[in-house]
Amino acid sequence: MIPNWRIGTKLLVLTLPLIAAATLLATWTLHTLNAERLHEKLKSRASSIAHQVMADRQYYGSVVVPRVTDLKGSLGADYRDVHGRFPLPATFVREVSEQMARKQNGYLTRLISPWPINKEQRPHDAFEMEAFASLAARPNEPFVRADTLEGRAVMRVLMADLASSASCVSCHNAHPQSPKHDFQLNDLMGGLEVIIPIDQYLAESRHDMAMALGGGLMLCFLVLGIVSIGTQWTVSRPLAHIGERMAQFMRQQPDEQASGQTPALPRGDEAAYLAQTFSKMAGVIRSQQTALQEANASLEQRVQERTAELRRTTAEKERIGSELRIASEIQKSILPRTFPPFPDRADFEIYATTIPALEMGGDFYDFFLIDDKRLGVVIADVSGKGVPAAIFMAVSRSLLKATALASVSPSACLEHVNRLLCPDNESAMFVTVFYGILHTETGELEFSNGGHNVPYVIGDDRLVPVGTPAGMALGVLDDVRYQTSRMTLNPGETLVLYTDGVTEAMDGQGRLFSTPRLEQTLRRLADQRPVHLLTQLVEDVQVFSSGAVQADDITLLALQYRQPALLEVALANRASELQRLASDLERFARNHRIPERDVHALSLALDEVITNTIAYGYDDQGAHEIRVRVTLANGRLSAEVEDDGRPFDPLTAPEPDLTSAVEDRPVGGLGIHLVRSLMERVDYRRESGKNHLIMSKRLSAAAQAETKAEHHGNL
Amino acid sequence: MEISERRVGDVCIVQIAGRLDSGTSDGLAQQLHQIVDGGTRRLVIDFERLDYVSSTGLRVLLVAAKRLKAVDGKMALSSLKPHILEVFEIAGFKSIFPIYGSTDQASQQLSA
Repeated sequence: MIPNWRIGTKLLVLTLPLIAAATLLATWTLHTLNAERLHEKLKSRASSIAHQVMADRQYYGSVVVPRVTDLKGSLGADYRDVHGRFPLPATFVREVSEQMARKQNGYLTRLISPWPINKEQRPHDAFEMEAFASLAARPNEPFVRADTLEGRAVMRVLMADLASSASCVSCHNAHPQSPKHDFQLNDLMGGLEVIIPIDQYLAESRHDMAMALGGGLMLCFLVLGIVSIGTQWTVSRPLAHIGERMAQFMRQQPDEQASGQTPALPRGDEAAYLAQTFSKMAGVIRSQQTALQEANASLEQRVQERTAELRRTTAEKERIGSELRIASEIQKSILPRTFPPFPDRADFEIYATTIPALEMGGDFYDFFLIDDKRLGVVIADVSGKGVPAAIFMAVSRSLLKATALASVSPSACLEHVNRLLCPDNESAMFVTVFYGILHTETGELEFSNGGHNVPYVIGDDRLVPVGTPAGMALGVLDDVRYQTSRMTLNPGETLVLYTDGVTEAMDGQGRLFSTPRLEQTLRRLADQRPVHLLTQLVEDVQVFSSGAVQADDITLLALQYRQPALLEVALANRASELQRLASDLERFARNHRIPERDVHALSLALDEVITNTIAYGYDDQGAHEIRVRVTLANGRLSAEVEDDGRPFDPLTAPEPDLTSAVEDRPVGGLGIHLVRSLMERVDYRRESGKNHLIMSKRLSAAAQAETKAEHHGNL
Repeated sequence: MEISERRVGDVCIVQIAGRLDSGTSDGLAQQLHQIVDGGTRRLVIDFERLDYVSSTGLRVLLVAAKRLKAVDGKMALSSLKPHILEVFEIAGFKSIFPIYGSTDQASQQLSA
């Protein structure tokens, strides 16, 4: 098993011996090279000393010795004791060497020879014997070697001493103490040995080596330390961290297999731990992936099943939706939707709208002329919503209208419809109804309320509820009695009917639009025409409830009672009266913004008719009254002339001659022709002994467009 | 109803202003009668200031034209407002009276 060491530590243990060995090897190699170089240096030094000494001796032998001989002097080692004696060359060398040795500790220079004159100069040891053997063979190569002498390391060199001059040869051969007497010139006579102590240099060299070794090793340890710490930071710790995270991941797996495999403690180093954990994690991931793939496949199947199901449901829904849309269209088409519904009527204006909460609504409005002078208006709200409410609504609406048109009072109408609804009402539905009849000549409103929200009448200076909340909804009890009440609308005032979808419209916080807010809005819009009033009111409700789902149908009807645009003038049967009619008509036209072209046409037509009546209409000469009644309604200008002259239908007059030349052109007959040409419709009737001529024309195109723009301006 | 009269050469120019209807046409009828009786054979009626004409007024003009025609005189109208021109058209009078944009134009045409 791998010891529980960190990677850094392992690295250290593995590399330390290698580095140490390398350091040692390097140091040793360096030292060896150094030692060799030192040897060479010392050898050359020893040799140069030897050469120096030999040069001195050469000089002494060749210069001094011959002069001594010439001067009859003698040579001998005992020159200090005998007068006229000079040192021998050997003595000279020896004594110079002795002085050198005294000055330089350990240095020794001496002459030796196998054939010495002085016995002390015999070869002393193995080195010298060996050196002479070498010199005998190669006299020109000094013999050099390191050696140990008297316990000290030394460098020894032995240089050949050849018989360089005749004096040397003769002297040695003649010397009594010389063991050899047959020397010849250039014979090997002996050698000069130079000994240099080198133990000091060696010690220095060893010291250097130790220092180098020590320094090298320290450097190694430093480097290793840095590497070890670096490894710890850059490799070990991140690895350990990854391992920890992986182990944590495994512990978090709900899978038994996974949590069971979580390694409790790291074994081996971080990498090994990581590898173990990773292989276990890979197993866990593999098994989870398999599980995931299986789940995915089953999910895919379920999605397909669900999609098919949805497709079926959607098709079904679409079918129902389209049927509902058609039904909704049918339902809407039941209610009168063309505005203005009675374009010829200037004495009232009506507008209504309904916005169902669902496709099918339970609310409805209705209006209808019972006769020329009575207009019926209905608003109703069926309990519930959707298709059942819509069906009940259709039935109620038909019954109400049919009954109302039979010209009964509002209360009688509600009672009758209630009796019809009750017996067959098995689903216990009911409908609240307000039914009113406006007498268009007087502004009187007759009404009866079957449990519906109390409507309002709004005018410049008032907002009044129409009646009190009384009466029961229709369809509940079959013998309920209803009451007819009355109030009068002033010209310009508007009756506003509404359903509770208006007051109970909710905003995002569940607050109701409420009755006070409705009243406030109605006061603000009191002077508006019905279409503008309702459009604005609906917009206010929608702004208020924006963000909330519309909970109930919103239905509104506004009926404005108007004084018709009317001019009534009574004229005497005098031509001068026409001027008065003309100025009255001009003022009327200005007030009602009637185009000049149209008022001119009407003015001229009236002129022609009345002029004709004044001139030819009366059998007597007495005073008569001619009544003129001009009205403007929905873009049509009408006039009725009533006189009590003799019966005369101007429409029977023949067409005049319009083409003959001036001399043949008949004078007269043009008046009636002008009337017929200027007016679009002219009708005559004789009634109660009076002539009634009714004529009308539409306002010209420009004025029509203006009126239309005004009408639709706020839609 | 205002009526004014001036002469340019042998042309008599009568300007009528205001309304020409049953209340005022008798006056114009008399004046035109005198002008024709006085020997005038070239007559221009200036409509520039006339606002209204009824069939009675038309009749006066037709009668004057007939009288002039009988004595080989000529008559022309000038400066009719659009709604009056419309009445002339309806009445078939545009074929009886030459109508010009100005009295000068009408006078020149009559003198030619």
